Amino acid sequence: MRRLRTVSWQLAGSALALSMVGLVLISSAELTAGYVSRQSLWIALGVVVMLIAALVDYTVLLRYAIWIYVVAVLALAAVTFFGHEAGGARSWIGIGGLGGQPSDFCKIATVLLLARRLADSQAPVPPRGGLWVTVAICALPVLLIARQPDLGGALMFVPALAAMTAVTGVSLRSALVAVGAALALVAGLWVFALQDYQKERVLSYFQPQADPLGSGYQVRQSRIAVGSGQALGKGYGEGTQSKLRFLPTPHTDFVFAVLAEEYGFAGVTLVMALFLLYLGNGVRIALAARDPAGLLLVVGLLAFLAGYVLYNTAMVVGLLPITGIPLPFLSYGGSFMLFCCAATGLMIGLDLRRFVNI
Amino acid sequence: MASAGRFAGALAAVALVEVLLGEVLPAAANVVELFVLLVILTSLRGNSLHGLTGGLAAGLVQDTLTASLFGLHSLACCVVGYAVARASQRILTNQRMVAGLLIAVGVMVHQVLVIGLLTVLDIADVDPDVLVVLSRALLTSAAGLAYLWLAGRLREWAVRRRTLAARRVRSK
Repeated sequence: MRRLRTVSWQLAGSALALSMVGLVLISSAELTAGYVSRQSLWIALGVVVMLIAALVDYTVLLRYAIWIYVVAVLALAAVTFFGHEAGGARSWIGIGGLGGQPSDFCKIATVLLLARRLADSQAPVPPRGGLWVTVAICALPVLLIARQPDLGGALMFVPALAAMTAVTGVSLRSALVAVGAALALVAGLWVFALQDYQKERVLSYFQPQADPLGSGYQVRQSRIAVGSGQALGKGYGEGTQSKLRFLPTPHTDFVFAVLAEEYGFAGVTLVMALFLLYLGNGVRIALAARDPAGLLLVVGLLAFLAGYVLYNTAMVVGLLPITGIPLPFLSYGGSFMLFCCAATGLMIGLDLRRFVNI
Repeated sequence: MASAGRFAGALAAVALVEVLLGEVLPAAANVVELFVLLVILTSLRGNSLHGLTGGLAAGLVQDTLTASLFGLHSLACCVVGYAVARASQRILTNQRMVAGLLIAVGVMVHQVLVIGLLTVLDIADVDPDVLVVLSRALLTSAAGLAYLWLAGRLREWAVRRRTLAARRVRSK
């Protein structure tokens, strides 16, 4: 615990500040009682998870990455048989009540294994399989998550894999093969995994005005919410788009639209500055990491979180097709909050071990 | 890592017992707080990180198995695990009565935390019964003491057996 005093608190501070902003937005957009109290509980648990992740030596996690990955993938596979349905996706595991989403746990497990494998690939005797095994490690959870079907969650593995392989350094041929494989995967998902409503959402992205009351409804309402906020917003609890239920899920995927409507350009700038502070500190930790595996671990986690931030904000303003992608620290959700906090804790752990000799 | 493996095995066993008890004797499943007992027994060695991690893992499994809110028992178990580990760094827990007392206090703290969180966060209407909380703490403490006694006896038996085997080898 004493070691934590040497850590820069900007990363944890920005994460906590974002969580508090999220809590305010959820309380403002609250449609049913209990969302704020649950989110408060998850933030408190998230702080504990952050602490644990910071105190656990990441080299130990990397050593047992394969077993962590196996457990995570088995949990994901179990969702197919025992999962609860929530929001059209079979992604909640729980026997009695609501449990967590194993896909969030699987993200960290995949990044750990990828970091270990890609770091080993720089060794004099690299592991067998090359890029194909790396892609397969990522493809297995992607396919399982897409099967739930949670397209957004599956999509977020792509930036993590791309960033980690780019940092390791790949040849042009391998990069072209990877792009080809990704395109084949997208085509496969479109044909075999995507439900009709998901295909409609993608198609509505190209023609949002074609069906304003159907598939183009969400993006239209979201754009109205963002645009109506103007410079300073309408104020706390005054957002008509969320209060009058024009926005379908104002507390989860569209929490950014609530922010823009109630706090305007000023609120959005503040939140974006906090995200920049968070990501900037993450990059600083990555550059100061004591070994390649640590660097890759931070890059993977940052790519995941940055991917979520970029996609969610772009989705809300209609720049990308709408799919279930929450905004880190701000959106309502237990296991996603724990994932974000665990990722932050791992980065803090790397930061406090930056001077330790191997 | 061996301790993590042992903890994972014990957690799986506790989860299995809870599921079986829930199916066969639902009333008995709530009498002894097996998950909290596991967390406290893990934390008695005095490692606060093990207390926190064990509390989180056991709490998440308990949240998944019971119909409670996700994160409720996890947070309570984390606090109990950390507090017991910190307390164990300051007092001698190898005396069974001290360990028993620590288990009873840990279970009561866990109960108070769960009830407090449910009340403060306004998640559910709770009507806490002091007698139920106390009896749960006592029974869990008794179960913990029984485990510690049994573990002690087994350890003594194993040492005696090893000594006898060594003597036999020497006499030959």
